[in-house]
Amino acid sequence: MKSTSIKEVTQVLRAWMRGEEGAKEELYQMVYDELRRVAHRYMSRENTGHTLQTTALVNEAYLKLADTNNLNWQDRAHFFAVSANVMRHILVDHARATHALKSGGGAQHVGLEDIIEIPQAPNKDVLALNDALNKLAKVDDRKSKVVELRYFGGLSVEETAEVLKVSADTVMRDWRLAKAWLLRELQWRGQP
Amino acid sequence: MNSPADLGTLDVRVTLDDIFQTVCDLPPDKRSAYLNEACAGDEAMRREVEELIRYYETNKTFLEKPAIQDVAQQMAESGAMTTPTPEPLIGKVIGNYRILSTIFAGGMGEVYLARDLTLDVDVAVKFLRREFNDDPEWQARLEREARLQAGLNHPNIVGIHYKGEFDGRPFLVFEFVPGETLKDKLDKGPLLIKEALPLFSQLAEALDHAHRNGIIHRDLKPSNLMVTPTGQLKVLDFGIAKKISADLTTIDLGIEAGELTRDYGKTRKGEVMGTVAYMSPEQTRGEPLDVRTDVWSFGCVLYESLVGKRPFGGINTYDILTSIRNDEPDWEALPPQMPKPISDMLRSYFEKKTQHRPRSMAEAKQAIDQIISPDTAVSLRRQLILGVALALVLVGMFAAGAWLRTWWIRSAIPAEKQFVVLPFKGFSDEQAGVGFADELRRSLLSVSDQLRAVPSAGRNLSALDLSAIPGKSGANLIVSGEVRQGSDQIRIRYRVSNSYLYDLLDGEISGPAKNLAELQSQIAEQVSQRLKLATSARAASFGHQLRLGNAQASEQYLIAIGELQKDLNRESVEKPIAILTRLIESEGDSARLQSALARAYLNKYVFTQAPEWLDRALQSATQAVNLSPDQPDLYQVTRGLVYVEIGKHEEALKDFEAARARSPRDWEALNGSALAHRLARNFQQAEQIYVQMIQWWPNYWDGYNELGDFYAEQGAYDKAIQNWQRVITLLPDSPVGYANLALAYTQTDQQAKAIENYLIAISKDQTGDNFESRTSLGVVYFEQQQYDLALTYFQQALDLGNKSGRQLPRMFSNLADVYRQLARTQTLPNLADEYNRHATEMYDNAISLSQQKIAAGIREVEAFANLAEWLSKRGKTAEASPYLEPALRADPQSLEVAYSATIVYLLAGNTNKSLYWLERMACGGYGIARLNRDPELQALRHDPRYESIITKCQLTNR
Repeated sequence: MKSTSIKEVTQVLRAWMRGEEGAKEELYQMVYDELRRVAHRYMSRENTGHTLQTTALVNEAYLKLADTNNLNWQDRAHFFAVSANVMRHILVDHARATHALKSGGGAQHVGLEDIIEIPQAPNKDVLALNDALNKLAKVDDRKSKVVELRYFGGLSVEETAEVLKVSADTVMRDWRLAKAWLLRELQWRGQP
Repeated sequence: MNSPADLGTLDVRVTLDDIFQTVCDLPPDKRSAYLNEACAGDEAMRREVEELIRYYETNKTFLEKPAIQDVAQQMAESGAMTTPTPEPLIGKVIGNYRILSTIFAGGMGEVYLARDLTLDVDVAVKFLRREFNDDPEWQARLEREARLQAGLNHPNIVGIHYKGEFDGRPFLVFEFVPGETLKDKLDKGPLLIKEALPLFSQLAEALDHAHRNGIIHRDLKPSNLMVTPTGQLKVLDFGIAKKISADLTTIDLGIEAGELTRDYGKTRKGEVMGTVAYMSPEQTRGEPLDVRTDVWSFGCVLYESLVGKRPFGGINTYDILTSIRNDEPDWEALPPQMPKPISDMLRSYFEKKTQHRPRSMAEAKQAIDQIISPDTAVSLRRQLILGVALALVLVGMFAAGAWLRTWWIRSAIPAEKQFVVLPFKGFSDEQAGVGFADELRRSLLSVSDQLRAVPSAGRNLSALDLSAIPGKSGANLIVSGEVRQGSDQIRIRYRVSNSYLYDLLDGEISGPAKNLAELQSQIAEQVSQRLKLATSARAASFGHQLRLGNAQASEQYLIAIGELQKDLNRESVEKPIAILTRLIESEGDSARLQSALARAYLNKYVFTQAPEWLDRALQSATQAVNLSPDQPDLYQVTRGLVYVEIGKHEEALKDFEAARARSPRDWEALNGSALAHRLARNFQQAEQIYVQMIQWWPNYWDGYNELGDFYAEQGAYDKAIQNWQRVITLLPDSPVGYANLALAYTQTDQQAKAIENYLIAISKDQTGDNFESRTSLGVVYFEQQQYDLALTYFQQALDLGNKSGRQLPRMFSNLADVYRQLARTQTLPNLADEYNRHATEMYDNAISLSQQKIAAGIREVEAFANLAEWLSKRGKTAEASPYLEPALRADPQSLEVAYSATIVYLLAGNTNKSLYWLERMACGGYGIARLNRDPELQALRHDPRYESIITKCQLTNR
């Protein structure tokens, strides 16, 4: 089976950094494919078919793609930015799909749910959070990026700072206010 | 209105941001004053900041865990929410046990302290959580835990007493171990060296015992180790342990579904990482695992016990996994008085690459025992002489190790040696590893006649999951290994393990890569010497018969051999022919190359049925035998196989007998002999050989398959069905058993079962080019006069054949038969003409392919009979008889031939003869119901004699 090699990832990352057209889409696809590939492999093993391997499989995909030995720090930071975005999309897509399914919605959706079953409970939360984040991005794009990187990407404060090219202190400040803002926004949404 | 979107303009936001941040950092009592000042006059801003602060303060954990962990957490909690309140089991008597109190209640289930009322001892009773009862996964897990642990009997492994069920809930009864877990101990601080070493000596012994029994624990951690008040250690929880599979590894995800749940359920946050922290690098990657994953985890637990912190840590799972894969533990943290053998041992246990890590826990125990035994105990007084003592200890260790190994090998070698060679790893082309294994198998067979072997990774085993090989091939010696290639040199490591997958011996050999074949022979010789095999009188220099000019040629050769083992498809058929032809040109002619080429041509013939390839196969096979004048028998199996295809049974038999004289237990030679006997109509001999093969290889599916085929050919379908059912048991994921079974059901007029099994066979056909089952299913539908369905499946079979370059006469004649019937039943004359045209065209195709075959000298009786039948149906009744007559003379017993004769005579208007052959067929075991249904025989059924023949045969058959 052919899997994405680190070299390819690095090349596409660099292409993306140079601003080449389509590179971001390609990178997105690579990360997504890698997640799917890993997930499929897990699913096809005996004694699996279970829902609870999400952490393990994402870990594996992350580590495979973002192998720190093979990516320099700059590449790695960018890679994290992309994978955070991919994670966000995956979770949101999945939440939408199950939401649509439950409300009798129609379109056949192919996403992570084909591979792993993410429980129903967080769907509503994820969708609400996603909407709130989009709204935050309109007022303060950097703060929404901080949330995306830290929450969806699992990045540390330092890593986030590196990606956004700001100080760790700024990340902490953004993080605090963004959380307060999002909490309030979500609370408001919760009230009809 | 205070909408959250109203953060205002950029200026305001910056100010708001600043004020918010400052307030956050202020103690609550100082905030109000600051806000008064900072928001002087701007009440809206003040309210905004206060509101945000309030939200911020109310939920500090919001988003603090990465999304993916949140998801996992929520799964665990949603599981936890469904946890029922613990059953009021306490005080109850369950079977022999009175439940006394709860020891532990967690995600997976509950563990109770109970009293065994018969023996009057305490036991631990483990129940699965109620909602897992119906979950086959969890049941399987409990089942596995019980089974694996029951197979282990060791003072340092918690014993299992009983498995039962109460109120629909399965439970396990374990020996009760008083004391605390190692985790509880470590929570109080690290252990002293003298406290730790006796425990780890016991742990090493327990693991060594498990490993020798083919079981790896996979989940070693302090919370799975009990320490009794008297200092005895017991290993708990084989819930995710695994029987090791054939290539000495297990292919399984390190973190199993159940494990995560259990840990989430059992513990609060932080503990999840506990499990991850003891994983080996290969486990974190979900790679195949072998005993060395336990060796790594052993190292982790030992390190943590002595240092007080884990060797690989981090604040989140990613960090821990990264650290496991990339970091060295902090060696400085080890206690300064740490004995060097132990720290050396630890270092070797933390080798990232599995192959560099020791696999033997017995050696760990020895190393530890040397230090803790009274003679060499680390005491202050002896510190000074420790250096000298250790040097002596090490010498002693090696000597003892060698002795132990010799003893172990002698005691563990099975008397009946039946081996399988697994593909060697490390070649740049995987197929070369398959080829290497097959060549090594031949080398081993040629050095000793005490060995027997099944085709290793060959077509016959390719459908098998590797983990099933020791069980299913019946092998009790497994040869495996890997190579490392330099530019010219190659290093080969090999291992021989027993069926428990415990290594009996291993070795390493290196040399010029161009001499791979010789290196193989050397391995075979070494293995045979070290297993104390009597070498056969004419111990072969199989490897010396192939000399290739360079490393590349060597590898090419192995790739060709590897391709020969694959399922037949266009590539696997063409590639070896190309490679081998090229090699013969560049390297000169040799027996080995010609013999391989003969097999390649034979495959091509089987695949295409084009007779020219059979000619070439025979030429090459004969050339191979001639090129090895002193040891022709090495190459006679191949030629025998070619003769079988040609139908020359005497010649085939001669070749196989010669091969069996050299290697009496070579599967290929035995199977070939049986086939040759069948061709020669020596059915008794054939049956004897099959029975012998099954005795020797009771768990290898192909023996039953061949025997089933043999019985079916005799019309003994009940016996055939028995054998093919056995094939399905042994090989459930392959279409082979189902397709054959379906065939037997067709013959015994169990159409529904036949259709069902054909459909299963088609669904299990992973290559997607299995036309046989589709053809046969078409036949069933044809006989039921469901012509549209028959047409569908016949057409599919033909399309698959065209796609892969295989055109068999049968594919065309089947379609022709359908069109012929469609034309007959069609009332619209135009359409009927159309169908007839199709039928004619298809018969012509079948006839011409079949004539080519016969012209090329292939003497298959059925080919003659079929050709006659098709010519008749095509309207050329006069041309049929020159083909039918010889077939009838050659095999008057054959039901197939009798059927063709019935049709040919019927169409020629010779009803008497037709009825004669009908009777032979009906009384010979051909399904009566099939005859009654057969649309071709409609005209015959109008004859009054038909009924009496059928009645007569029904009586005799009974």
